[in-house]
Amino acid sequence: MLNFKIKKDNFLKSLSLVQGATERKGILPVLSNLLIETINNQKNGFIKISATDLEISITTYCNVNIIQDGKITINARKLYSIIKEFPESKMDEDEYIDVKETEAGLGVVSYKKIIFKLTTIPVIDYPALIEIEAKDNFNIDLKTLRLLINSVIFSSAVSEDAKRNLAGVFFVLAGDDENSFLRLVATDGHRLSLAESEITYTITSKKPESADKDKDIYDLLKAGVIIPRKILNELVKIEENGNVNISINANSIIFKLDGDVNNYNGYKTEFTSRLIEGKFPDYQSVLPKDNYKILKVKTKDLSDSIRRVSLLAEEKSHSIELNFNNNALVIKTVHTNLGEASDEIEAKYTGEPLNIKLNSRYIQDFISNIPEEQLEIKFNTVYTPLVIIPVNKGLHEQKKINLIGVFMPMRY
Amino acid sequence: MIKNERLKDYKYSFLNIAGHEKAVHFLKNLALNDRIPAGFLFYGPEGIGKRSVAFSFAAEMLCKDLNLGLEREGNSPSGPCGECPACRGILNGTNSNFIFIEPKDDSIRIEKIHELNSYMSLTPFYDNYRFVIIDNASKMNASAANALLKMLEEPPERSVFILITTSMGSILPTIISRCQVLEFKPLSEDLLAKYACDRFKDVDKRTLDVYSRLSRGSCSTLEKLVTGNYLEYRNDITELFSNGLFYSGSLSYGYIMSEKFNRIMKNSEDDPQGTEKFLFETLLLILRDIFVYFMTKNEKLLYNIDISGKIKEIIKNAGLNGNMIMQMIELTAAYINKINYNLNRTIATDGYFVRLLKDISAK
Repeated sequence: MLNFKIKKDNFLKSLSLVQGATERKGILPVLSNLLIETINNQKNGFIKISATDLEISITTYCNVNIIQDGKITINARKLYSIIKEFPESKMDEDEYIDVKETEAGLGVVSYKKIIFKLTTIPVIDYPALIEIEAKDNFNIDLKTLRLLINSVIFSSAVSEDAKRNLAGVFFVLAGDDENSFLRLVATDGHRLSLAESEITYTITSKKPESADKDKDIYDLLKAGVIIPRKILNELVKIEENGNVNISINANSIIFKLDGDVNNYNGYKTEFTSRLIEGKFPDYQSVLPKDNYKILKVKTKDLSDSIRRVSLLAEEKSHSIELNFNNNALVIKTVHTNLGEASDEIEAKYTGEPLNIKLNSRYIQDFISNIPEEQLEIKFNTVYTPLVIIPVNKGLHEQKKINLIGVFMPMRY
Repeated sequence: MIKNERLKDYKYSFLNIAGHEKAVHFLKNLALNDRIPAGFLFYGPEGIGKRSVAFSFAAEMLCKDLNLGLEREGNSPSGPCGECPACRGILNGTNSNFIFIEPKDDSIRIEKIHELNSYMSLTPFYDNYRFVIIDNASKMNASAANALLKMLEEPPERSVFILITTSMGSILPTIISRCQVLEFKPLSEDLLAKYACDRFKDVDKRTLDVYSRLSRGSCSTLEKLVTGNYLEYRNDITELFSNGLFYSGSLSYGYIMSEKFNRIMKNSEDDPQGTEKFLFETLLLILRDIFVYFMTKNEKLLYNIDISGKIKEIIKNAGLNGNMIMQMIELTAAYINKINYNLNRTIATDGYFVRLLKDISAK
């Protein structure tokens, strides 16, 4: 019968990490539970905590004093709330939370004089998480990855939609052999966001005889994989810094956290997700090529102005009109019931004046994440996509990060 | 700990299927040749094992250990192991390659199909076939059916949809045309009797024979009959009829019958509406036997074969004739149709039993 003692802070941190992978709808009660297993029976052993909703799974480790080995499943949310409500222990105090399983199959969680007895579900009913082996992998800074995800994820299509292949973020390896970029692309058909960062990618298993049936990560990533939003939403929640080790096989992607994030003796916190099947649309064709007119504007000016003017935008369409004039950008909106608004900001532009109608929300989503001061707006006609690119002045330390936002104009 | 025992006789295996040799053989062959189509439609009367066949098919295909066996020996000698994660997952719904959908609140809504679509658009955890089993597929509303049709038109790779229905008429023709249709027939009485003997060793043979007849070719009805106390209910109801007051056709006896009937109903612990339906169907069966015996005088045709003496007695003593029995049967059938209405049960049954007695008293 399982029995171990654990520090409150450690336990709470581990539990909050895995919460996101438990099922909320309660269709399958066992998926609302966590699986806690002891790893090795020593005085200072570890427990492995896993959660899954059959789409993503998260496992993490935590060091504990194991008294007896065992496995148990306990309701994730309840356990988290219970541990959270235990009183703070004073700094010098050495109080442990005691977790054990009784003969009757109850999970008993006690701390000082508080006792909680929780029902459990037999471990045998817990879905088996598969250990996925991927020979090849690469590392990326967690901070960078978070930034990349945050710069594109809002553009992906909300699921339940028919366009399931758009309900995730496309990860693709771009660049040549010398400079590799990890590129993230998301689109919902009306807008597209792209973010890329240089990564040090060393091709370790690129064998000359490519008769190997399993495609290695290089080929997979070169072709690109679509990753569901859910796992990415969990990843951006992690506050610590460190490295992420990413490996991919034909069905899944695994993010292993290095560094300060609950990492014990080589046991790493793992985020696993299934991939979205299907083909991602050809995003390259909407990226700007030649013959584009370019307007330069300050990020803050544009952002503030759009926020002001969009107060009077139509509630459903959020439409605003951009008038590109000589060295000036006029932002206008008309609301049929309430009135109209306009604002003019300074901009660098020489060329034919042009008016383009756009969804203000989409632009706001994109530029609110941009640290650069200057933006380039590229456009051609009222029917072709409008592109916003931050003017990169090497603001991100060491590594280069590129962002591109593409927006389809609205019809008149 | 109880669950461990359950695994010992793992339910879902072709070996445990009673009858349906043709369907099983057909499915086995498809599996062996690795030519499994993306859509199946299983149809046939309720409770004869369509779902078990579908589940077993999935279990046979998904069980890891067995899959190896299939390749090695060309045939599966043992059936799914019941112990690997895949097998367990089918039982408790945590196998990510196996999705089971059934009507909720008597319908399958489009949200459910959308959910399925989202789920199926992800790559599977196990690199194997994915099974989607939709029970009572005719309960899909129009939008859900069309959403499903869209999935069937372009099924994800290595996925198998199995729709189960009792009536082909209520399935979109466009869906039918995309499915391999398998018809399931009611099981023969001998087969059922044999199945019953194997399954319920502690029940006496004579009772089982009665049950096998009564279950009209359906395993699940048979199981329900054996585990429930059908005989007790039936005897209680028969008692209502074999009574001097019934024979004389006194109308006031209708109220006594109704009261007794309601008392039987109250004694049951199941939900009242279901019990009421069940009791009236039992009553209908008794009337059917009375009618059949009256017309043919052949005991062998009776369902309730063990109470043939009682049935003869009732016919004789009440002086029933064909018309009267027909009237009673129609009355009962009409009442069963109205059970779901929001009626005061006591008044409704009062009315029913008095009307039942009307013809006898007019005589």
